[in-house]
Amino acid sequence: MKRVRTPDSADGSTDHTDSRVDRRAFLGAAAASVPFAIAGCTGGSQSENTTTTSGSSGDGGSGGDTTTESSGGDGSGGSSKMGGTLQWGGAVPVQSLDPHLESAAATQRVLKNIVEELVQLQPDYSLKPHLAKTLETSEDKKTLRMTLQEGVTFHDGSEMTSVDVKASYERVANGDFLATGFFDFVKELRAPDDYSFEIQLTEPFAPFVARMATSELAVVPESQAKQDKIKEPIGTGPYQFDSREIDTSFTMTRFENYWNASEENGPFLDTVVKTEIKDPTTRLQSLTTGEFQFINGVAPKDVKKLKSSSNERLETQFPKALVYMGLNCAKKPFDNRDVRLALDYALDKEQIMEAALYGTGKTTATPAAPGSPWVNPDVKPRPRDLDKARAHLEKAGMPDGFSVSFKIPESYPTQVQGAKVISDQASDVGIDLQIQKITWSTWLSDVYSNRNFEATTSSYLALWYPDVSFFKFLDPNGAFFFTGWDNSEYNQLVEKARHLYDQQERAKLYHKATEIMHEDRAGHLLLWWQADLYGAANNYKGHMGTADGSTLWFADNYIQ
Amino acid sequence: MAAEASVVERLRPTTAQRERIARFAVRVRANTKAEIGLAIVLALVLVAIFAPVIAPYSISKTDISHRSEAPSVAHPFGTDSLGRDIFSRVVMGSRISLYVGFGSILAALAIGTVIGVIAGYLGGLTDELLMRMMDAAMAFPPVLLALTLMVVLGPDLSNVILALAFVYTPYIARVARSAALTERNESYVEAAVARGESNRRIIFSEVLPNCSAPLLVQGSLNISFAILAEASLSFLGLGAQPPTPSWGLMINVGSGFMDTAPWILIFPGLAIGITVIGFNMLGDGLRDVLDPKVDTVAA
Amino acid sequence: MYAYVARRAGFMAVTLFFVTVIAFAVTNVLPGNVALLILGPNASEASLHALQQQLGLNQPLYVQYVDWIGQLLHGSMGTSLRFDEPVVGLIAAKLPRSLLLAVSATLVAVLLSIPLGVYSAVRQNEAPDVAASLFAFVGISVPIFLWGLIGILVFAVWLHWFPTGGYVPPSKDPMGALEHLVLPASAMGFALTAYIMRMTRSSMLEVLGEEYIKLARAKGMSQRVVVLRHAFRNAIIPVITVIAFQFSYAFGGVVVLEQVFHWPGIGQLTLIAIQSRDIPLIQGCIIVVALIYMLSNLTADLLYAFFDPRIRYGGGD
Repeated sequence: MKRVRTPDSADGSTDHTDSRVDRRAFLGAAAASVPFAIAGCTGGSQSENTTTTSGSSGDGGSGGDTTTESSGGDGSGGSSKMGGTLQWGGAVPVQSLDPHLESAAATQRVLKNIVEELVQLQPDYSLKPHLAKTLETSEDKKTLRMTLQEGVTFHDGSEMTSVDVKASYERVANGDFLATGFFDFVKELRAPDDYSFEIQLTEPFAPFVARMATSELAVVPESQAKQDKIKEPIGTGPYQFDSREIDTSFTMTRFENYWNASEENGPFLDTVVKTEIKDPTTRLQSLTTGEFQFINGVAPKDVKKLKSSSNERLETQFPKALVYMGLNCAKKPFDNRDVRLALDYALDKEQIMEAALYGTGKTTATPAAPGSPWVNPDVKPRPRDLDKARAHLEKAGMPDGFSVSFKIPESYPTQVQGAKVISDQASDVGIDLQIQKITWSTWLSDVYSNRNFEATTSSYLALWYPDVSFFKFLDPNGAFFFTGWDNSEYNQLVEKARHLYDQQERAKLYHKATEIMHEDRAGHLLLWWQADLYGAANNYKGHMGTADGSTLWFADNYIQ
Repeated sequence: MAAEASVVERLRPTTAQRERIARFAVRVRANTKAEIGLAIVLALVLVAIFAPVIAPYSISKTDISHRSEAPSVAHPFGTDSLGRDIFSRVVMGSRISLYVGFGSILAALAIGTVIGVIAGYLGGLTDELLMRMMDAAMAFPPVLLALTLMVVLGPDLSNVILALAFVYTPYIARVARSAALTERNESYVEAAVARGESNRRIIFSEVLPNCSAPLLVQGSLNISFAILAEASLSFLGLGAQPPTPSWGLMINVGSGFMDTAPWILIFPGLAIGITVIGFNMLGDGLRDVLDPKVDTVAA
Repeated sequence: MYAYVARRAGFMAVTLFFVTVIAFAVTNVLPGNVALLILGPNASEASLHALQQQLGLNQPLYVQYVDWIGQLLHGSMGTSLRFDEPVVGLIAAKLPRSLLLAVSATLVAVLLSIPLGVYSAVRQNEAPDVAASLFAFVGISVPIFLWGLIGILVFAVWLHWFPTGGYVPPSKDPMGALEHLVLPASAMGFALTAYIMRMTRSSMLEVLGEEYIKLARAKGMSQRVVVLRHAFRNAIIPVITVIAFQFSYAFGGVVVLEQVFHWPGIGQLTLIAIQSRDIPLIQGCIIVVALIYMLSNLTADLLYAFFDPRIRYGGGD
């Protein structure tokens, strides 16, 4: 039985660098796996943050560790770092609290601290055993064997054993939860003894292990696994659920018996209180008046203000989301490639990005994550060229332009801002994009579901998995396909790439795919990458943000 | 039987009516409030009519290099976060406010008056039924009802007019009804009944014109409510869509820049304030002139 | 008098019926798909349909209406589609806060407008009168949300006297609760001032012109005694009804005000419900708001009637 760190690395290497984010290593590791299926967005919000299911546990507390075992804690907290209440101004309200069911990123930001998983995503994007002490795969990669950490207590005082792990996994397997579909490849779940757990797959399926690092397969006590819907989550995490008022606040308190507590890595804070403030301006004001020590979802326009402030600081994490303009290729007029190209040439993407992001973003013509091998360096956004735009319009037989609806989800202020500039620029060649701000729920039903739109904007989260970038949104079989652009050559390329493990071969296919996307002017007109923007009081310290670019981990934060 | 007179002749004001109008005008002039109010409203109407001429810049041309600039000679009200000239937008915005204000209230007047007068004149079950329905619509706070309607209709300026017309119709109807009730007992109505005129003829030719005074007052007061309501709806994001220069929408966007670029919201705010003050003064003044005891309804 | 009250109550019942019809009609024409919102964009057609079935959204409208009314009469408003909690519970939690806000706003208005109104009456047509009128006028002419924003800018952001918004339960922290209450209550209160002040003023003027006042003055009583003891007591009566009307106006304004101050009351709940197309919650919210609005208007009407001798002792509307 070979002892491999995780089944995800293409070459089996266990290279850890320091805790600095090393994208290359991660992307290498990710190459072999079908990515976390990011199920798109749910829930309306009034903030910057798009929602995602790709929640994963926070960055590992013990960076630089090269063993395969996750470290146990010694239960004591740091010296002067201990204590304090964090007042956190949140952007999007926490919704339902069932970890196996709730996909919204806002909820994940708190759940990540309450429930834990068998494996955990590291800053270098590798997966490390967490609640599992060791993880082995069989030669045929069909069996996963884990020994569990001992002495792990749940918030209700009971000890975690394989009974709880099995119950949690069975709950997902047999119910209707987010990760349930993945159990199609699972033949059997076994708990040979109190601290052993085995998963028998029907065929090697790397993405399953990736899923195990998300709260969709979090470990809850057997008693909760029996519930239809969990309302007050009990887990093994450093913080326990205290109380919440829907859409208003959420409180969690330090769990004194956290199994992985340590002097350097916390948890230190006594209480974390999240107050929901949907308006970014008010949220920032509350930070500067001292009502909060930490906020997420800082509006790009406030970045300068925050940077020049003496008592607070800006923290960023890039990139977070990719924003694009969606064109309905199944309907007039955007079913015509020349029309799409005309619009492309009418837009000055730098200006649009600058208007929306105040210099905190980057334009792009490829959906591949910046710095990844999937980026085709030769494909760049088309520069603004009104003559070419008009020429294409003529070719399409619409020399005087045309008028269409432009549906913008109003909960994303940067998209609204960008849309105003887009509409203005397009009008210079006679293309009249009539802005209609709609709620997220209307976007979902009108634009995504019924495809009743001509032009729109939307976003998806930072995508470390090329399969999501290239397949999920742009291949007709992808889960979030809605712009109707169907190019058979492109489809062939990205479908083939799913089954390859060699990075270079895959990269070649994705590079070609990017070219085609650009040439044929796919229905996704990419606009910009934008960053996670956090605001923190100067006395609030520790790590901000996590490896997945979306959730938050409060264990190593303290106030001093 | 009265001889049928041609429509034109019937519409030409009689000497008596002309005298009444003249006396009315004098009283309006004498009332300071009404005068000031009228002056403001007229100024506003002129600005709205000549807006494209007065406004030096386009309302939608973005210019990122000049974003959020403080008021200057080139831009007397400053620029907003996309570099657009605020003065031009505020001036053009007057059209939106007047369009919504007049549009919704005229519609409400048209429908509400008919309902109210019919109810008041006919009385009985028709009256009860109609008025209960009006009460039901008035049971909802105006902004709440308007915004629920906007969600159903879809955010668009013409839908705002529809929604507000629906919201204010009952208030107009109430006033019309009580005016009709009073008129019903007047001698000229008795005379018309004695003449054998149909109900419809009586309502539309006799009663209606005589209800105009309280309706005029109520109408002009309601215009200011309508303008405030449109501002609230746009502020909540359910009214005008960008780049329409609705003052309420400008305040909505401007609130995000309150501490760094307060001019973005101050000028549209002032514009709304002055406009509403104008209509309120006019309405108040008219009420003083026409009859201080006239029954008006605060929406 | 009792006949009057009974009649009004009867009318209210019919009106209430129409209110439910409006509430139901309006919420059922909403665009947007609740099931999609709940299950997310990856849900299959089958599960969407199943959820809609479960939520009863596939039945004909009149059936849904009757079901809903039946539920209402049993004291239930259904379960919120978005929060998965009983609507009644959600509303019960948030409603008191909106009432607190409305009452405080009315209080602020009363404290401002009555002294101003009395003073204006006593100094009729002089500078203070005109100034006070102008003050009140400006109050009602600027949208409430703008007053709120200005208040936040000046008193919270610049002066740091008050927080920028939010709510603290009075039972937990009375001082904090008060702090958070001042700005929103004042913003709204300012807007209510005009009508109360005007009514106070005109009522005072009327009473001051009465014979018995002149008699008291002739007897040699001081101005202050005359004003405060006699005139005021009689003048205040019609003012009470205006105050009641202003309370309902304040309550009606919660939707916008709570948005500006992030006050977690029923106004905010209604907006959230509307944005999520949460039909049972929308219906529950607007029914409750309409009911309170109607009740406070009715109370004002009754107070008016109570003090109006014509109605008190017989006669009609």
